[in-house]
Amino acid sequence: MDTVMLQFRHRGMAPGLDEVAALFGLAPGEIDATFGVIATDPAEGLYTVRIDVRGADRVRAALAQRPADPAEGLFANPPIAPFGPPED
Amino acid sequence: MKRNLIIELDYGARLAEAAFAAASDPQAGLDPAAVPDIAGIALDPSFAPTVIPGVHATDPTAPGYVSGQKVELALTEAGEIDPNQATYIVRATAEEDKVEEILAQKHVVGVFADVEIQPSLICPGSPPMGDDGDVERLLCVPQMRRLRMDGSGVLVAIVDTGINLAHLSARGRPITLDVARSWVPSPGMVPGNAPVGHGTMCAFDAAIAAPQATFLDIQLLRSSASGPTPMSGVLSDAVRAYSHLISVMTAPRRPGEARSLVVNNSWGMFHPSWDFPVGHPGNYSDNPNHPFNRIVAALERVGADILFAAGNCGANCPDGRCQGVTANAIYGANSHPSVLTIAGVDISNTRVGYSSQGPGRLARNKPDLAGYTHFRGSGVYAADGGTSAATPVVAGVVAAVRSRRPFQPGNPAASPAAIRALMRSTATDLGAAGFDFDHGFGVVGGCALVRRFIRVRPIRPIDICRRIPELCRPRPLPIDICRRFPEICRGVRRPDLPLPPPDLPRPGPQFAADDESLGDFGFELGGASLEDLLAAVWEAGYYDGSQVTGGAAASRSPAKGCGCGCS
Repeated sequence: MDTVMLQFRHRGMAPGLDEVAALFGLAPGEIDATFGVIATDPAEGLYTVRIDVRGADRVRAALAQRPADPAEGLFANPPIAPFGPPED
Repeated sequence: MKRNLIIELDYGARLAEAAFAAASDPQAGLDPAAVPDIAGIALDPSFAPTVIPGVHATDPTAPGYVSGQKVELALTEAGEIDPNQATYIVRATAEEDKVEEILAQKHVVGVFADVEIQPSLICPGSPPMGDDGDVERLLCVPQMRRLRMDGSGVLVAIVDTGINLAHLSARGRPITLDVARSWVPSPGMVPGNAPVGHGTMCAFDAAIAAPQATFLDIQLLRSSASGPTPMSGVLSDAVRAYSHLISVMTAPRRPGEARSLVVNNSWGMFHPSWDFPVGHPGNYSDNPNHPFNRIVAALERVGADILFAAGNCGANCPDGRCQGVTANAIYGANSHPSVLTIAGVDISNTRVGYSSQGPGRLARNKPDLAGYTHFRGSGVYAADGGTSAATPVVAGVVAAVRSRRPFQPGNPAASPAAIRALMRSTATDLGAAGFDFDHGFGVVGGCALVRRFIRVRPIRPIDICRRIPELCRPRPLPIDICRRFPEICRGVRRPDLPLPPPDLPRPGPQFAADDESLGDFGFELGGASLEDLLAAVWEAGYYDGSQVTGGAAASRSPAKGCGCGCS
C-alpha cells in the first residue's frame, strides 16, 4: 500500500494506535500497526504513525481543527537506497 | 628496460601522406614502409602517424598581426597545414639507454616518454585506486592505535543492508557485534548474518580506523517495504530504526558501559521525484519538520555522532539513478545541520567525479568534509566506492576519536557538535582555500587528529645523578695544595724554609695500599689517607730536589740509609 507519515503533537504519555485513530478519524486498518507510534521528537512531544494514503483526507480535515503547526501533518515517505557502488 | 616512446620525425613524402590520410580515418594504423629506418626501435603498428603542424615566429609588422601572438602555424598559400614544415609522430618501444642513439639518427627530431595517463576523475565503473592499506596509511591508523584511538568502548551503528560477519573475518577485518542492540526490520532476520553486500562493505570500511569498536547491525535497507531496487526501503523504516537507536542511547547505563554511538548512513534519496515537491508541507528534502529530520535531530541531542553520505550525484559523472539532477543534490537528512555530511575523494586526494556537491538543502555549507573512497577493500565489489564507502571511513575515525573523548552528557567538549567541529578543524584542506562545496573543509585528517591527542607533557630536567650515579657518589675533598703548602704557590723557592710538618700517615683499618712499595719512605702506612700519601711523596720529592740543586737540606730527610743518592 502507498503510505505517508502522520506527525502530530501529543501531551503526556505516547498515545496508543486506537487513540491516534480516534484523534484523526482513521479506521484501525489504516494505521500501520507494525510501525506503531514513534516519538520523533520526545522533547517536543512529537509522534509519528505510518498510515494508508486513503485516510489522508480525513487526517487533513482533523488537522484543520487544530492550531496551525508546521511540525504537524502528512509527510512524504520516499524510497531510499544505498549510495554505492555508483552506477553508470 | 624497455620504455614506451613518442618518436618525432621530420618530413618524408610517404610519411606525410600516411599521416594526413590517417587524420580522417580513425581506424588507420601504421604502415612501417612509410617510416624511415630508425635503428633500435620497435614501431607500434596500431598507432597511425600523426601530424604536428609546424610553427614559425610571427611578424609583428605583418598585416593582421594579433597582439601578443608569438607564433603562428606554418601554412601553405592555400591556408592548409604545410606538410614540409610539419613533423610527424609515431609510437614505439625501445631500450631506455638507447634513447640518445635514436635521437642522433637522421630524420629523428625528438624522442619523448609516452607516459601512462589516467582519467583525471574517478567515475562510476572506474577501476579501484589503491587499497584499504593505503587508506590506513593516509589516516595514520598505526599512530592512532598507539594512542588507543581504535574505537574501543564505542558503538558504531551501520544503518544499511546488514552485515555479514563471516565475510569480514575472511577478509581479515573481524569485528565485534552487539546482537542484542542491533535491529532488524522484520522477524526472522539475524544481525550479522545478512547477505554479503553494501552493509558489509560499510562495516569493513568503518573497521579500518575503529577495529575495536562494537558494531550494531541496523538492517534498514532490508525492510519489507517496497523501494526502487531490491536493496532499498522507505524513509519511515529509517524513523523506526532511529527510534531504536534513541532507546539504545537513553537506556539505563551499566557501570562502565560504553555509550558513545557513531551512526553511519551510506544511503539516501537519489532523485527529488521520489519526494513531495519542495514547498509542499509534507516535503522531505527541504523540510526540517519532516519526521525523519526531526528524529535525526533528536538522536543527535541524546549524544550520537551521525554521519550521512553526500550522495553520488556529482556534476562530473553522476550515478545514473540521479537522472541528471546534480544541482543542490544533497537532500534531507543528508544535509542536516546536526550531521557530518561526507563527500568522496580517491587516495590521491582528488574528488571522485560522482561525489555530490553542495550547497545542501537543509544546511547550506555541505558537505562537511571528505573521506577516501573507490579503493580495493572489502571484496564485496571491485572497489569500495561511492560516498557510501567514504562515509564509514570517516565514521571509523570518529569512533577512534570517541575512544579518547567519550560522550558525556552535559560536557560541551564531548558533545556531537564539538566532535563535528574537531573533525572539520583537523581536515586537510582541498580545492579552494577553506570551505568549498566540493570537499567541505577537506579530507578527514587522521594524522592531525593524532597530533591533537598526543598529550603535551612538560619536559622534566634531566636528573643526572639518577642517570649516572657514579658521578654523584660522595668523594674525598680535593687536595688544596696551595693551602697546605703555600710556598709552592707563591712561586718562591725557599728550600731553607722549614717545611710544614707533614701529617704522618696514621694507621687505620681502611687503607689497602701495598705497604712494601711505599715502605722505602720509612713511613708506617697501614692507615694513611690518600692525601697523607701524596703529602709524603711530595715531601720526598722536595727533599730529593734540594739535594740535586745543592740547596739546603730539607728539614727532614728520609730516615733511611739506602744507597740511592742520599748521604
